Amino acid sequence: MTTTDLIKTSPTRVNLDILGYVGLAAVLIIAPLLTSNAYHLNVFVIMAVNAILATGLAIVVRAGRLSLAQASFGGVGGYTTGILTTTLSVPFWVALPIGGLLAAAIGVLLGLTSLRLRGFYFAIATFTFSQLAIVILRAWTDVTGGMSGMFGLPHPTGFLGFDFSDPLQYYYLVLIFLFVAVLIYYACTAGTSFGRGLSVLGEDEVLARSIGVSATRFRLLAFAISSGIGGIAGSFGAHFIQGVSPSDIQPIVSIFIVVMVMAGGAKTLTGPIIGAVIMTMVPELLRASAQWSMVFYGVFLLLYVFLFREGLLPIVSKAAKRLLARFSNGTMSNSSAVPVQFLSADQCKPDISPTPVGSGTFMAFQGLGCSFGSLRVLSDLNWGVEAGCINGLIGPNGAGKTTFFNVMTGIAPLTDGTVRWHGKDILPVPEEMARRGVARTYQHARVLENHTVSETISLCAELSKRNVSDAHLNWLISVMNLKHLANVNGKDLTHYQRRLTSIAMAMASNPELLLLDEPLAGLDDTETRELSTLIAKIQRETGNTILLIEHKLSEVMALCSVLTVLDHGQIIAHGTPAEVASNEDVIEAYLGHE
Amino acid sequence: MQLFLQQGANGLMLGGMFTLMSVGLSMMFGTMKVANFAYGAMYMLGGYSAFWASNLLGVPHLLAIVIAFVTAFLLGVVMEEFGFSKFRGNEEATLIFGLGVALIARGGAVLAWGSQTRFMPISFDTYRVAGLVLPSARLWAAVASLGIVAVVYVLVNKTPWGRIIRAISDNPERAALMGFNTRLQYWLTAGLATGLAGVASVLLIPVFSLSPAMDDAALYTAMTVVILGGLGSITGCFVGGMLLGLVTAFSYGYLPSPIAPAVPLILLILTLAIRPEGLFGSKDRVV
Repeated sequence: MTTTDLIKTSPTRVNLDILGYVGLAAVLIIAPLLTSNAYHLNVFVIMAVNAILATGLAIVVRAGRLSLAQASFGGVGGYTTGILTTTLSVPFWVALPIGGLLAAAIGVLLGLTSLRLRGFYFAIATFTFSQLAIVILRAWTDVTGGMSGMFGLPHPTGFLGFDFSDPLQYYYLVLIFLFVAVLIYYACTAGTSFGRGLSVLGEDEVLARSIGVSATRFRLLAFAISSGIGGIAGSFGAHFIQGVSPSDIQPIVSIFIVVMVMAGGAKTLTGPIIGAVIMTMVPELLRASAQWSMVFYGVFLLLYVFLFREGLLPIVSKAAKRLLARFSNGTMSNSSAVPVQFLSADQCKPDISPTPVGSGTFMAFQGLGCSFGSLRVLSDLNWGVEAGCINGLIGPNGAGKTTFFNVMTGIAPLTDGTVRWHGKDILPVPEEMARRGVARTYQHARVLENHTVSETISLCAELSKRNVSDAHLNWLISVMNLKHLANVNGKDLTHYQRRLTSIAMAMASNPELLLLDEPLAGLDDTETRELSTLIAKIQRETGNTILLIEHKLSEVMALCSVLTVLDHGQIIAHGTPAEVASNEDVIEAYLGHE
Repeated sequence: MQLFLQQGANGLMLGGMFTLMSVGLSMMFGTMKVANFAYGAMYMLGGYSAFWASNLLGVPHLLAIVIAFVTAFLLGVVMEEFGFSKFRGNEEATLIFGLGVALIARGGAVLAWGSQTRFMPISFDTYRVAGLVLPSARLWAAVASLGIVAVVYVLVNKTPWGRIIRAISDNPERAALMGFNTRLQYWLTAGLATGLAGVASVLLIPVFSLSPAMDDAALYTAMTVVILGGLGSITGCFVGGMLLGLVTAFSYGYLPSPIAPAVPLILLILTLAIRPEGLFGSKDRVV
C-alpha cells in the first residue's frame, strides 16, 4: 500500500461514522414526536436517562474495570438534588451540579479500590459499595425517607418559556445532556490525549504505564467523570418521576446498565446509547412484566457472551463498512486513534538522542537490590550504563536480568540501593521512567491488539509526552520495515512482526535509553540477522543508548561495545566482549565446573 | 454477659450456616478459578427442587436433600460444559455468563412459582442450655455444615481424587498431558460445588425460607465468606464463615438495627482494600 492510499481511505471511514451519528441523532429527536401518548413519552425519558447512565459507565469499562455500582451513583445524584430541592429549597439548577460533584467525589473513593483490584474482585467491591449505599439510605430515615424513599420532588425550574413538567420538553432537556455526555465520552476515548491514554490503559495496563500513561491519575479521573455523569443522570431520573428510593439503586439496576453498555458495544461511541434504547424499548414493546424483562436481560447477556462479544453496533458497522469497502477499497479499523502522518521519503530522518555519544554514564546504580519476600533476586549491583553505545547484559537463565529491567523501569520493587539518573537519585515509577526517556520491550512482545501498527506508534510517541517529530516516526516505520503493516491490527501480526512493532513502539518516544529484553528469542536465522542489523542501525542513526539482554551470544558479541554478566543476582564480569569471553568466572557460570 | 454469650452462640451457628452456603463457591474458585455469579441461582433452584419434591411427591426430608443435590449437580455440569469451559481464563466473560444465567433463573422462578416465600413442612424445637436459646433448625444446620465442610476438606486435601483435582487446578494443560481427563474432572468439580449449594439451600430453608429473590443474598454471603477466608482454601472458607457469622451476630446484638447491616459490608470493603487475598489466600490470584 502506498502513502497516497493511506491518506485516501480515512475520509470514507469518518464519513460513514458521521452518517451513523447523524442518523441516530435524527431518530432520537424525531421518534417522540410520532406519539402523543403520555406513557410512551415517559418511556422515552427513562430511555434517555438510561442512555446517559450507560454512556458514563462505558468510560470506566473502557478503562478496564467492570463496575456494578453505576445505579448507586445515579442514586447519589438523585438523593442529593432531592434533599437539596425539597428540604433545603435550593433551586434545581444549583442542586444539579452539586449532585454531580458529590457523585464524582464518591466515584473517586471507589476508584481508589480499582488501583489494587481488577476483574471480578473489583466487581465485588462495587457490588458491596452499592449494598452499603442502600443500608445508609435506609438507616438515615429522617433525611432520605428510609425504605420508602423520597417523593414529591419538583420538576426542574423552567426557563426561556420551557416547561419541564411536559414530558416531551423534559425529554429534549435530557437529550441535550445526553449529547454533552457523549461529547465527554468522546473526550475520554479517542478525542483527547487523556482519552487515548485511557483506552491503552484499558487494553494493557503494564504496557500503558511503560509508554508513559499515569495509571493512577488516569483511572481516578475516569471514575470521577463516569460517576459524575451517573449522578447527573440520576438527578434527571429522580426529578422526572418525582421520587427516588433505595429500590432505584439495587445491584440489579446496575447490572441492567452493564447489560446496556455491553449489548450496544462498549468500544464504540454510540454503542451504550443503542444498548439503552434496545434494553429499554424492547421490554416495553413486548409489554413485558418485570420478571419477563429480567429473563430478557439474562438472555441478552448470554447472547452477548456467546455471539457478539464486541456488542451489536460493531457488527452492524462492520457489515456496513464491508459493503462500502466494495465500492471504495476502504480499509477497516475500529480504533479512532490518530495514525502517523506519512511524509515523503526524503523527509524521513530520526531525532537524535539527547544524550551525546561518549558522555560516560547517565544512569547508574549503587548497591541495588531487589527481593520478593525472602527471595533475593538481585543484590548489591554497582554499575552504570555506558552512553551512546549498545550495552550487553548476559547471564544464565534465572540470573535476574529481566528483574533488573523491571527494577530500572519501576515494575519490580527497588528494595535496596539507589538509582541515579543524570546525577539525581530517583525512585523508578513506570510512567515516569517512560517520560524521562527509558523505553523497553518485553520478552513476549506486547503490542496493542486493537490498534493498527501506525496508530500504536503514534500513540506511543504522544503518550510519552516527549517531543517527537513526524520525521522520526516516518523514519522509524520505514527503517523497521513496517510500512506495509501500517494498517494491520496488532492482533493480526506474526511473531516476528510483533517483535519489530514492539521495538518501534519503544523507539517512538525517541528514548535516551532503550531496554531490549531478548529481542532475538524465537527468531529464525534470517530474522535474527535482519533484526540485529536493525538494532545496530537504530543505535547508529539516533546515537541513543541500548541495553540488550540476549542469549544468542554470537550476536551479542558482534553488537555490543561493553558486556556485563549477571549470575545469581550479582555482576560476575564486566568489560569488552573479548575480555568477558575469556573470563574464567563467566565460563564457569555458563558451563559449570570441569 | 448473657447477651454476649447468646450472640456468641448465635454467631457460631450463623457462621456454620454461612460456611455451608459458601463451601461450593470456594471449591469452584479454588480448583477451577471460576467466579460463578450464578451460584446463588443454583442455590435457589436446588432449594426449589427439594421443596417441590417434598410438597408434590411427598418424599421424606432426607431424600429431598438428595434430590436437591442431584438437581444442582446436573445444573452445575451443564453450566460448566456449555459456559465456563468456553470462557476459561476470561474473567469478564465468565462473570457476565454467570450474571445472565442468574437473571434468567430468578425471573423464570418468579414466573413459574410466584414470588411468595415458602417453607418446608418440618417442625423444629428450641433448645435451652444454660440460659441460652438455641433454635434447633439453626443448631442442626450448623452441625450439618461442620460435617459437610469436614468431608469436603478431606475429599480435596486427603484423597487421590483431591490430588487429581489439585493437580488440574495447578496446571490444567500439564495434567491433561499426564493423561487426566480434565473435562470429566471439571464436570465433577462444578457439579459437586453447585450440588453442595443445593444441599445448603435445603438445610437452610427452615432458617432463611425459600423465595426467588434469595439468590442475591446467598451469592453475596458466599462471595463475602470466600473473600474473607481467601480464595480456594476450605480452611479459609470455614474461618471466613465463622468470622462473618460472629461479626454479624455481634453487630446486630449491640448496634442499633439500622446500622448493624453495614458492619459486615464494611468488613468486606476493608478486606478488599487492605488484604484482597483474604486470610488464607495466596497473593498471586489477585493481581
